[in-house]
Amino acid sequence: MSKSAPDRPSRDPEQGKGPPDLHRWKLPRGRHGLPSEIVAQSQRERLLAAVVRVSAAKGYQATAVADILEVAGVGRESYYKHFKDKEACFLAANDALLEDLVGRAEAVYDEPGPWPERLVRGLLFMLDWLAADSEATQVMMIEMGRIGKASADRFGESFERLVALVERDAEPVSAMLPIPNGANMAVGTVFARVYGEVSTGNSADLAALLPSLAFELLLPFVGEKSALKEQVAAAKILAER
Amino acid sequence: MRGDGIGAAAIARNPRPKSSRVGLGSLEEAGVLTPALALDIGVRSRDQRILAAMALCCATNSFAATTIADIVGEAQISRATFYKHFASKRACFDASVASFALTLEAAATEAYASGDSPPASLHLAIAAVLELLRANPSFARLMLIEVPVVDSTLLDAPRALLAKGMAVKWGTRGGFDQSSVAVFGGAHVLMAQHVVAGRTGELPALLPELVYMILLPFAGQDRALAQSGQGK
Repeated sequence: MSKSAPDRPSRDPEQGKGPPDLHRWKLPRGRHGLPSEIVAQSQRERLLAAVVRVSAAKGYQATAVADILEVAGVGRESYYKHFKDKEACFLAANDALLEDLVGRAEAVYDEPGPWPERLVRGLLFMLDWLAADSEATQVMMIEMGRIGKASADRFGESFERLVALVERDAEPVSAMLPIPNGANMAVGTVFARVYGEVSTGNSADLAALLPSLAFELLLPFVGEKSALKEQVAAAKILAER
Repeated sequence: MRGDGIGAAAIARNPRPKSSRVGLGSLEEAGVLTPALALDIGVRSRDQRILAAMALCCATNSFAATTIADIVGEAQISRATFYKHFASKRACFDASVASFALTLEAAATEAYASGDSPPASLHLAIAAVLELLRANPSFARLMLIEVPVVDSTLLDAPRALLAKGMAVKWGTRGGFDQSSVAVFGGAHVLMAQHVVAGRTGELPALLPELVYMILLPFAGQDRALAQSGQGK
């Protein structure tokens, strides 16, 4: 999957661990003589940032296009050049955030090292990313569920993508459980724990879950004894930073 | 609304949810609570029809996008009749969830009692739940997809009760988190993922995985694998 679609800000290596700051695309008001495609790009990014901010605060259902326009500083006519309705804007924002989260976690996961450790580091990246921006997390994990079918489909796709990443590298190093769906179960358990925290408003300290999540994630692949060792190693990673 | 505690266990303790005008009594009269009733089809009473309509609308459209107009249209009742039964859309949702939770609980309890050993009972109980979900696809979607989205705390009470029961029967194993989200969350996501992928009909095939996952934190991996029927 391409990691920088042309309609999104490219990833900035200096940017830190959190989600991209979509607001940095804001341009000076009035006549600035910038090419129209730059203006359009900036408008789009501002609308995405605005829909995240407003729906995290008010909830998706209560969010009106007028709210988005006000926060983004974009006119109604320009808005409809980019998005046909509220849902299209919201989904585009969610997709941009999701791509940033999973794409960058994938890059961390792909760094050289022993497989269990790579998996734990990728997981830690995701926990930090989610904890760093409560608005983005609220939108992706809670508000997304409130828009109907499209969200369930996207959940399914993202879930499959994470499962495939785990399975891709797990297979050569370990005998899988003698029952099917090992990676599904592992990823599902991690998702449920994270969702449980986020849905009860505890997203600030997700990294604290790392040791027990590492254990649950690795269990189907390496067995109980080795998973316990990885749990200890994960606690060490946390303690050392 | 959160205090209404709609889990089956909470309902059993407190049979009349305050926000909803329908009490357990009327559900019982309506036959909604009859175990193993195929709620998606052959609905007979008005109460049942409204609860099934709610589930169907949620399954087609999500709870958030469902309107009272959708529900009354589906149930073929008037808006006034709807409000005679339920104070709000959310109250109707909670009643729909509660009725199916009780159906699941009753079926699981009955199946569990018919087993001649704890492992056999566990298999039978999980199989009964999977079969009910398969036979009632709208309610499966309601329980597995909509409930966590609308209010994930609705599942806290029944999950905690199950986790407690499992710990008593099977003990606890070091390293594992026996909190109810850790225990049942993964199983829930696995089933939800099947439903999202349009494979509700294949839920019963998840029996070995679910036996494994539910036993895991209590009995440990080796015993969980052996009991799932797929172990060494």
